[in-house]
Amino acid sequence: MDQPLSVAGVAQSRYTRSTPEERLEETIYRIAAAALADAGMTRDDVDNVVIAASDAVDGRAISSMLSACSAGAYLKDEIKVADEGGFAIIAAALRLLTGDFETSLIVSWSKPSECELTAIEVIAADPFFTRPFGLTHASSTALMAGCYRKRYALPGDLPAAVVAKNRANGSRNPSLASPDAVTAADVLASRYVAYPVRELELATAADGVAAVVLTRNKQLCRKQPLAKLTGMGWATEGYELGERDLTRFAALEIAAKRAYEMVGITDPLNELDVAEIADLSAYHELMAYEAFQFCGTGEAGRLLTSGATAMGGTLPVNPSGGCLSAWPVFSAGLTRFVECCLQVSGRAEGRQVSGAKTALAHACAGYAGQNHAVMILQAV
Amino acid sequence: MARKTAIIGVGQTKYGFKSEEMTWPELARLASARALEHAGLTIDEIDAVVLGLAPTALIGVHAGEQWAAGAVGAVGKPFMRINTGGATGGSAAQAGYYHIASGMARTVLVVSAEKVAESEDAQQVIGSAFDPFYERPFGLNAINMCAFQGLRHMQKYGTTQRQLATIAVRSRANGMRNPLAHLHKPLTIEQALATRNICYPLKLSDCCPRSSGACAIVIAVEDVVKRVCTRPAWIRGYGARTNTFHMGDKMGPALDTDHGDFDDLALAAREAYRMAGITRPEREVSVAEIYAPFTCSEVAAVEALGLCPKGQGGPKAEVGAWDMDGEIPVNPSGGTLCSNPISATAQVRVCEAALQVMQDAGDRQVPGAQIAIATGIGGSLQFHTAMVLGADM
Repeated sequence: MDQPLSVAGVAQSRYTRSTPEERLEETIYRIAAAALADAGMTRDDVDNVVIAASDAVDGRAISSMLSACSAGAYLKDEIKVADEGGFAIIAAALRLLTGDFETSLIVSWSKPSECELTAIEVIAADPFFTRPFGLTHASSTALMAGCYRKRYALPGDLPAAVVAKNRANGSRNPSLASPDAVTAADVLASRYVAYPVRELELATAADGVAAVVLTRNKQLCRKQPLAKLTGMGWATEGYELGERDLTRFAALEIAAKRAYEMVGITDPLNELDVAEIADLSAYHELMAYEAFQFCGTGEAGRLLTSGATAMGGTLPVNPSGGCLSAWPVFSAGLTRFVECCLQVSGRAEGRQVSGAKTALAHACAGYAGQNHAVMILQAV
Repeated sequence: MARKTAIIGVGQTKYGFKSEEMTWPELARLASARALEHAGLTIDEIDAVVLGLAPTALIGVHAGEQWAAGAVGAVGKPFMRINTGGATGGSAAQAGYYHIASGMARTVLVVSAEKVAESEDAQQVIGSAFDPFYERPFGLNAINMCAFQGLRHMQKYGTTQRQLATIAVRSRANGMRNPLAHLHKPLTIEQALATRNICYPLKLSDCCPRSSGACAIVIAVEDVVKRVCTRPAWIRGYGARTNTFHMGDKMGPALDTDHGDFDDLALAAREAYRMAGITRPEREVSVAEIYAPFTCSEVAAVEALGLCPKGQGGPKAEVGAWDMDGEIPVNPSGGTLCSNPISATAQVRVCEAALQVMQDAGDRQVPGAQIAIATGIGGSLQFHTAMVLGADM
């Protein structure tokens, strides 16, 4: 990156199981306006808008027709990324780094309470080879989990410990509307959704909206910026599960390496202070530890058991509670980004990692972690 | 525009309704391979990939970008999907530019693909874009929404159905010289005026077909361009504007922009011209590839691009100002009226504009084209993109 970018303001909705009191466009407007207010800015201070949203989750073709202006785009240069919300940060950063733009308003959302997620996952699949198998997030995760468990002889109760850690963290996060802590025993008592994955080992769908104001010109910030974006990387794997090594996130390894190189991170476990990882399942978090080089391959279970990734550990992972506590399906990566900004600015009420200076945010989408984005945030 | 960037390769498939012999990712792959060949690069020399894909209900696979990752050579690389409705291809080209101009990549492949025949009825899919509470019950769709724009233009400026018909006639004549065009069927003014009414003032010949097909471009940074390409299409300027979804807000005393006029496209074009240093577009633009799915869209667009004064789009078309031998050739490719691969249509405009300034447009070449402008429109005529390409830096 030619220069670090400054996060001028952030906002996020409460993450809820359903939001009957508000239309999605109303929530989008409220949160976009809140991010501007957090930055001490108005819409006039923003020269472009980047949004990330899913037509299928939003329940209409070209859903940005209705929502783009709610997100502040009226007569602005706006672009919609049809990838996970974290990719909206990547797209906005690319725009700002061209030098053609100064300040972006970035908004992403999901309202899964108004759609049938499993039905959407099934139509995500190609109709020839994959759809007849009924491949979904749960079943693709199960295939991945089975491969990983077998290869590294992962103890069967270990993923439950990831869930217990994140749900305990989530119970202290005031932005979660139903922050129920669960124990490892609760997880192990939950039903198998797709063997070996249990219901509570999968992310918990939640409605949510997140928004960020990002600028390349620190002088434009009306207040002290929350954080600097100093590194990013993103990459995809192939689509067919059969062509991939399901025991590792190869694309995430590439994305992480690129982001680390930009910042000069060589020992991520010790140099990062906090990580917000796309724990779309307990297995996603464990496998991400390895792709992020927090530990060697096959050692994620041991890293977890050591307590290194718990609150108070060397590198707390998902102090917010992660997606296992609340998963705004398409926008979860932007939520991770917002949480990291709150951490390095000391504003992560109830879930603050003390003295956090460097944070890693992760976005993930696709069957068994096909597509990844990584962003490194540092205190100002 | 701190870093100089250019399009160094263009690839397109033949546009047609069904393209039965290929799946959607295969269409994307074919266009990508052709763009790489045109650029003289291999996929290993590409740093990042951008995919343009609009409503996925048209291809029937919601996560089309994930499906196509391998087909477009993105595996192990940065990969991003853009969706701004009909403007998708224009936005994808701009996203490709961001990758290079930001310094984050040196070469990028931008590919947009459509296989509309996988859906029963494109209008049904596009109709689901409208608000379920207030608008969907009226049967609002892409055709009548554009007809409203045309009607308003007629009301404001006296534009006639005959003027609109001349646009269809010219587009079809141009399409005859484009071997990739979907509609290869000449049209006379009498035939055009005799086609059935679709939605007043639009007759059948005023409407685009729905097409399948794909197109791709390779964009590179200056030093790569100079190493591998003798006739690049330099990206000289670009712009985009998003307007309100609600068409009623673009009429009446409180309007900021007029639904009949494409004032929003004018804002995007003004930005693109500013970057390109163009102050007299009516003299400086050599050729325009305009996203005009209906004849009445072109009338408003040529005015918004400053190729003629407001209200003159119809009369100018009628006297042949935009013909191949006219003042400024508009849509030498035959335009969207001959091929409309929805996700790809706005990028087709960029491809054709690039070919013109590369002097590589075959039988549809505008001799000596120096400056070309390409546009895109999406949503309820609310997402607008413009890109200016030049033979010189």
